[in-house]
Amino acid sequence: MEEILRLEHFSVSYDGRRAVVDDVSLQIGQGEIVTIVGESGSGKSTLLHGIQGLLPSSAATKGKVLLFGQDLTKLDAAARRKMRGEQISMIFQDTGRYMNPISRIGKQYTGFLKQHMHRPEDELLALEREMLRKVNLTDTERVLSCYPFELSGGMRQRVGIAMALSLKPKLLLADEPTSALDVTVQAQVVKELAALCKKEGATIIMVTHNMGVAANISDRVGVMQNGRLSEWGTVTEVIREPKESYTKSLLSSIVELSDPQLI
Amino acid sequence: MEDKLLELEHVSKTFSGGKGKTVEAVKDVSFTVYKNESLGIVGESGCGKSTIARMITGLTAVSSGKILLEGNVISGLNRREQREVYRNIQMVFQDPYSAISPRMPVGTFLGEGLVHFGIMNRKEAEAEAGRLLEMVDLEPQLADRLPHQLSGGQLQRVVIARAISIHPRLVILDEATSALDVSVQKQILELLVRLQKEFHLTYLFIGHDLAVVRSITKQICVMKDGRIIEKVASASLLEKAGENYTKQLLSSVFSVRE
Ligand SMILES: Nc1ncnc2c1ncn2[C@@H]1O[C@H](COP(=O)(O)OP(=O)(O)OP(=O)(O)O)[C@@H](O)[C@H]1O
Ligand SMILES: Nc1ncnc2c1ncn2[C@@H]1O[C@H](COP(=O)(O)OP(=O)(O)OP(=O)(O)O)[C@@H](O)[C@H]1O
Ligand SMILES: [Mg+2]
Ligand SMILES: [Mg+2]
Repeated sequence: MEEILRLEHFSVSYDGRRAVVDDVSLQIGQGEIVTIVGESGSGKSTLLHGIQGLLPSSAATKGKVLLFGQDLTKLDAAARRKMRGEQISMIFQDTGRYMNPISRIGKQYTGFLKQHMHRPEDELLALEREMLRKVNLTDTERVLSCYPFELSGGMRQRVGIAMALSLKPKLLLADEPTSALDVTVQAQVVKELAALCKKEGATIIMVTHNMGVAANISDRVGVMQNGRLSEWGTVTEVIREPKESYTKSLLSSIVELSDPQLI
Repeated sequence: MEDKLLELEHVSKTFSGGKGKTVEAVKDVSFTVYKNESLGIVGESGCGKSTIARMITGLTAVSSGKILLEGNVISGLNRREQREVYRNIQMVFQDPYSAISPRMPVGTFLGEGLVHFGIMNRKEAEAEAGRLLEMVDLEPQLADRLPHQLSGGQLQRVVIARAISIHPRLVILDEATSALDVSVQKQILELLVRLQKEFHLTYLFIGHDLAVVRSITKQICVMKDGRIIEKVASASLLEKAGENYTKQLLSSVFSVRE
């Protein structure tokens, strides 16, 4: 399998404090679905932002991020922006925060696509509708004419997913893409993500708190704790036969339908 | 003994966005929440769950129907009347970043409710902030941080701590644990159960994780397309679910167990 991404001793710290991503090294092959689970505050979002080069200026990085062998930490801002459109796409944990609150979804979507592809407007619109349907937003005309606040949380999240998928990225970084979705829609989105990998040969790194999702779609699972990648391996290795006590404690915290109630 | 805390009677909400964009978000919804018996709401994304929560807290006006708290109508109150009522109802939203002004240190945010309702002065509230942070397993030193300097999960714990700080009767949790990792989620759920007993709280727990909603509620309302299509006792959700949609929800859950 061809390698697409490699991190070498990658660290990130904010404001000169202790590293919140601490000496992470890993290697990911083309077409793989990788999920990252772990403690909240352990550095998962920071890791994804670091790979993309989207960290705030208060952040400092160490180590290398190699995409197709090229060290992204060495790129200037313009080269990074170009790469973000053409090779890497990101689904944010809180899509709403990254949307313009006073601009309609359709306008934002078209504006976003125009930055990255040169096609006539009606083709863009057709693509928007197609992608919205894929994430089960069937009432496409209404969604496109809404302001962000007029959509439910899960609807906004799906707009973010549709946007990111439209560019058919080589590498998709997804931060909690299904955390605000009900289980039936979640299942559909997960299926779409997997299809992107299969059909387009895309690679996905997905952060999730949903261990069930991780267990069901991943080729590889990483567990983060306190900035470190404490466990890394296949689903069987990490979820079925975990070695680290932290992974074991995560697995034992899962609330399942057949468990006794807490009250 | 049936002690009613909250009642919704034939509540509907229509949003009219112009240009034929009218949306019937909530359609003729009625349910009762009894004291100390938390109620869960689950259902499709966009089916109207958050709209119900926002109507109960007075953030969105009802289009028709009535909402009662301990027998008193609370829908359609003026601002002054609202203040007293909403001391008793607190809400924790889906997105913690939207709950706090980006320039407010979390310590100030935590003490805000206590000061606002005259429970403590500013200085006392500041000291209380550290204790509230510890209550939700965060370091007291985080009080000085700004919201964006916390992870999503950390910030959600701050929001929960603040909601509970003024000891309301009803706490509405709208996807409140969705951003938390499973171990913190479990701690928060256990914390909610503990606080419920300690302060006689009742929760309206909205979520999409059926297992989580089931774990801390007595009853579950299943919503689809603006309506409640089924009410089930949480304890027997798996056996008693009757509607096809509910069964579909149950069968779409990804499990780690093989
Ligand atoms: N802009 C920032 N400035 C300072 N500290 C930050 C900033 N962003 C995040 N942090 C800190 O870095 C650590 C890692 O945060 P990050 O958001 O990466 O965690 P996470 O694993 O994504 O958590 P969650 O599961 O809750 O989303 C946390 O301790 C957080 O408080
Ligand atoms: N302020 C508003 N203006 C217009 N339409 C709105 C407004 N708020 C919500 N809606 C619409 O009402 C419907 C219900 O939205 P609501 O946020 O209540 O859903 P939800 O069940 O909470 O979904 P989710 O699980 O995704 O959070 C959606 O179709 C949404 O687009
Ligand atoms: Mg995060
Ligand atoms: Mg909602």
